[in-house]
Parts: sequence; structure tokens; C-alpha cells
Amino acid sequence: MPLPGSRTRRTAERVLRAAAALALALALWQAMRPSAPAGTQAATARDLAAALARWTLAAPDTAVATFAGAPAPVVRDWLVALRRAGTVVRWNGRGLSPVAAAVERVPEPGGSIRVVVAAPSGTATVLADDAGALGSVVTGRWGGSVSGIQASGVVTATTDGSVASVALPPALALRRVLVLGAAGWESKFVVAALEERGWTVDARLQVAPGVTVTQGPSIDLDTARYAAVIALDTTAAGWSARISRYVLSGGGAVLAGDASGLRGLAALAPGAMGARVNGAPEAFTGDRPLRGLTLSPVVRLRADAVALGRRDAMVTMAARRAGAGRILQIGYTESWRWRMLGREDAAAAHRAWWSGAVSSVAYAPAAPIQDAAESGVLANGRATALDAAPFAHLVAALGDAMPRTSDSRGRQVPWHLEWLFAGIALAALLGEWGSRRLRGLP
Amino acid sequence: MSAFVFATASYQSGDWDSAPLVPANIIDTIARYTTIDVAPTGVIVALDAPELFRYPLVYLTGHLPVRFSTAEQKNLGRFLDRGGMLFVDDHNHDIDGAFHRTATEELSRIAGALRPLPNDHALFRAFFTFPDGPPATSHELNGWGDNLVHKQLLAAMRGDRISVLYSSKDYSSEWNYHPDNKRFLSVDNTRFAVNLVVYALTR
Repeated sequence: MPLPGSRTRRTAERVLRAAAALALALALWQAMRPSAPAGTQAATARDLAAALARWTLAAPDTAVATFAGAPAPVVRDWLVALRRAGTVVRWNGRGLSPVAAAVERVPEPGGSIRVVVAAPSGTATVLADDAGALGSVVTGRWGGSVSGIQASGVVTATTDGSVASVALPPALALRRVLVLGAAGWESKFVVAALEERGWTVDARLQVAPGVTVTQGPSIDLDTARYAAVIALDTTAAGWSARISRYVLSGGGAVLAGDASGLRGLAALAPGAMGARVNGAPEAFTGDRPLRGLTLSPVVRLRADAVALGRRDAMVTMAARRAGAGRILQIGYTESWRWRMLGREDAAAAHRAWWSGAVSSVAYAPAAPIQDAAESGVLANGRATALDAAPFAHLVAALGDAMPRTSDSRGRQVPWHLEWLFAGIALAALLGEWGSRRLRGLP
Repeated sequence: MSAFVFATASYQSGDWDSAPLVPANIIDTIARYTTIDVAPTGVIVALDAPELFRYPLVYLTGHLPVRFSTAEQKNLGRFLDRGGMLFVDDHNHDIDGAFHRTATEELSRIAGALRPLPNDHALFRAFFTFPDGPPATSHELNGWGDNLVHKQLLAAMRGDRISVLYSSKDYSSEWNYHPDNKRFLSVDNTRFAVNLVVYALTR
């Protein structure tokens, strides 16, 4: 005698059986269908070179490249060429780390360079050149940089497998520096510091009315001869017109001490000269020796001037552009005391500080072309392999990477469908079997 | 800009204060011929004192044997390394006297070998021109002197700058008089001191 409702149950069992059959069929179809639709081909970093050659001979509808590191420019360009020939080119690179580098010559004797690196914050980037490792830099929010290093050939910045490579820019033609001031310890030690650092220094140091101690040849103050002029005090007043012309035509000027208050240079100066504030002599042997120096702060800063240093609320150094040139105003006076009274490294620090001041404004054009070979300019073949920003160039050339959840065909696949269908079939069969057993059937 | 201060070195051995009127005379000369801002009085600074570094030109003289203490040697070495200049004058004006032998030994140990300074060096053109090199002193010349003329000064160099200038010419005697008495001289015999100071302040 059939149980009540057995008709409904039998119907349900048939539905479950049909569902199981359908799910099995779908699972089989899902598992056995081709892995990629016709016309889509994928390659990883390992087989990309062969794939590129293959795709060039028989272009697929879609080419998908998976990179382990930023591709070489030639690979990138090849993919761009495929795209322009009609193939849809897509890429992904889960571990790809963006890095970019720039190299510039520092206009200082010795030919050192400055390397600026852009990479995700907190990333350690290793710098190297043709001769070996140069050091490393940990990037912050605004990137990172290393100055004062010597390099030859190509500079590379490597982080997490991505390599940015940059050729050294041509060497700079460094010209002479002119120092104007009265005979005194500041003049002497500024000249000495720059010469010890490798600059060729001319000086005009006033000793008596009409008597000037002259170092170097008597030549015009222009950008063909001088990289920068330093005015240390009011004895530079007679040079105001020449300094102004020189700066407007591209030269660099450093105004220090009482020269900052010269009326003839007021139109150039980044600011006015404030009242003198004594330094704390004990600071010379501390970590901030500049605090030991007497300061005439830069006040009434021009709108286009940039404050480069401060002591408390006072501006100690400021710079601005005027015409084609640059002017640095230094509020510190008698920097020689730092050199003489400071710590063991004071003389070297004083040299570096003054050289840096001159370097920041110096007119330094590229060296003549005959020096190019020594300056790191590369033969064409090698230059084409360089890439200062491989990740940025990759995105610019091929667009953004595919989303992380995409498979090589570019579709969203949250899980494997064949297993889902198999599970549904199993559940349906178990349901039907259980129902039948409860009814006493096999 | 602070004034130039003429500094005389004191040291533990010998008689460092044998020419007490020289500083005043040189200060007078600097003020007379130049616009260099010069302090009206000189200072005495110990060779082993940290204050030595406030005075990048220091004058040292004496008659007696010189032996620098370890502290003096070390301090003077650092002073010269940083660009300070030491002017040493043998107050004896002789060839191989006690001061000369001991002072040159000590200085060579600290600053390197003392070598003859060419008589066409920039020092001799720094303000006044001395075409024959260092001017002779009355103590050298025949007459009141002994006709023992030292034709050259000695110097230890730091790069192309004079680090230690050593004189056997006895400028300490030549310049050791009250500045008021300069008016009795037909030619000011302290003019070379101007060159010395101007050189120190410009090179």
C-alpha cells in the first residue's frame, strides 16, 4: 500500500534524478570544454619569447602575457606592435613592483651624481652601476634619493625584481667661481673650502682703498667663464650691476653676510637682511653646528623665493630665480668659526656646505661633445635597452593589468564550476537514494 | 665681520714673551696701510688652549730651546690642519742656535718638513712688493748687524698655502719698538708684516 503523499515524493525523486543528470552533464561539459576559447593564447615570462615569435607568425585574437618582472623594452614594444596589428593584448603581473629612477649630474667638482628613486613607500631599492653595487635607498612617501656618489656606465635601481636602468647624463662643464669680499677670515676660508673641494676659485679681496688682492685672471664676469659668484660683504657693492647682468643671463650668485643688504642687489635677493642674532658657540661641537654661527636672517621673503633653511622661526637661507639665473641668500656670517672651532669633521663639513651652496646655483652646461664618451653616453644598441620607469612605461603602452581574479582568458572565475556541478549532482542523487530507502525501495 | 686680532702664542718651554712690543707695532702697521678691521690690542693664546682656533694667524717667537708638550703638539697640529697659519721668528738671528734647532725639529714633526720659500712667492707681493724676497733686518746688515743675512724664509705648506712660516731674520727684534718711534725711520721696517697679515687673510 503506497504511503500518503508518495506521489509527490516520487515526483520529487524524479526531479532530483533529472537535476543530478543535468548537473553531471554540465560538470562534464565544464571539465571537458577547451581551456581557452579559440583565438586566445597565453604565455608566461618563461615562454614569452617563443610565444612572441609564434604570435607574430600567426596572430591570435587575444594574447595574454604574464610577467614576473617588468618586461624589457623590446618585449613591451613587441606586444605594442602586436596590438597595433590587431591582436588584443592583455597582461598581468601579480608580483610586479613599480620602480622608476632618474640620474642627474651634481654641478660640483668630482663628477658625482644624484639618483632619485620612485617606488612604493618603505621599499628598499638597490642601486648599482657597471662596476657593481652603489648602495641602497629606502623610499619614503615622496620617493628617495642618494647624492654624491660616483658611477660609470648605466645606473640601475632594483626592487622586487623590477629594474629601472638609466644612462649617465653627459658630464658638466664646470667653470670658475668668483669670490668677492674684504680681506678677512671669512674670505680666506670660503676660498680655501672651495679650492679644497676642487673648484677653481678667483678672488677679489679688498685690502685698502684702491688695493685689491687678486687671485686668478682678470676676466669678465659672464657665463662663459664663471659658474657662480659669491659676494661676502659690502665690498661687492661696486660689482652690483655686473652681478645683476650675470645672473639674469643665467649665472648663479650667492649673497652672504652683509652683501645680502646691498641696495644694488636688492632686486635680485630672495629677501631682505634682518637684524643680527648671535649664535651659541657651544653648538659648534654639537649635532647642529650652524646654530653656533651669527645669523642675519632672511626677512621679507619675496613671493617667488623658497626658504631652504630655518633656525627656529627665522629663515637662514633662501633662493629664487631671476631671469635665467639663480640666487642663494645665506644669512649666516663668519662660517669660518664653524671650520676652526667645530668637531673633528668640521673642516670637511664646512667644505661640503660651501660647495653645496655654490652647486645649488651654479651655471653648469653639458660638457662639449668630445667628452661625451667619458661622460657615459651609450652606443645606440645599449641605449635602447634602458628603461628609467619600466612599470609606468608598461602601463602606458599596454594599459592597466588584468584584475587579480581573472584567469588567463580574462574572465571572472570565483571558483571552479565543474566541481560545483558535480556537487549538485551528488547531492541530488543522495537525496533521491535516501528518499527511496525511506520508502523501502532499493 | 669681526676684527682681525693679532695673537701671540705662549708655550710651556722657552721665553715666548721675548718681544712684547711686536704686536702693537704690527697692529699699528695694519691700521696705517690697510682697511682691514683690526682689534686695537693683541691677545696671548696658549698653544694647547682651545682658544687657539679663534685666531687663525698666530705669532710665535723666543730665544730659548723649544719643546712642545704633547697637548701643544696635538692642538697645533689640529690648528694647522684646519687652515690656521703659524708665523715663527727666531729672536736669536743665528744659523744653528738653540731656538732654531729645537723649533724647526718640533715644527717639522707637527707640520712636515720646513723648506726654503722661493723669493718670488706670493707672500712677497701680497701688499708691498719685495722683489728680493724677505726684507733684511738691521740685525743682519753690516754696521750694527753681523752681516749674516738669511736669504730665504722657511715654510711648511698645506697644499699650496703656507701653513708654518719660519724666519731666522729676527723680525722680533726689528719690530720690537714702540709704534710712535716709527716716525724716525726713513722706510717703515714693519711693511713686511702687512704682507704677512694680508697673505694670511687672503690665502
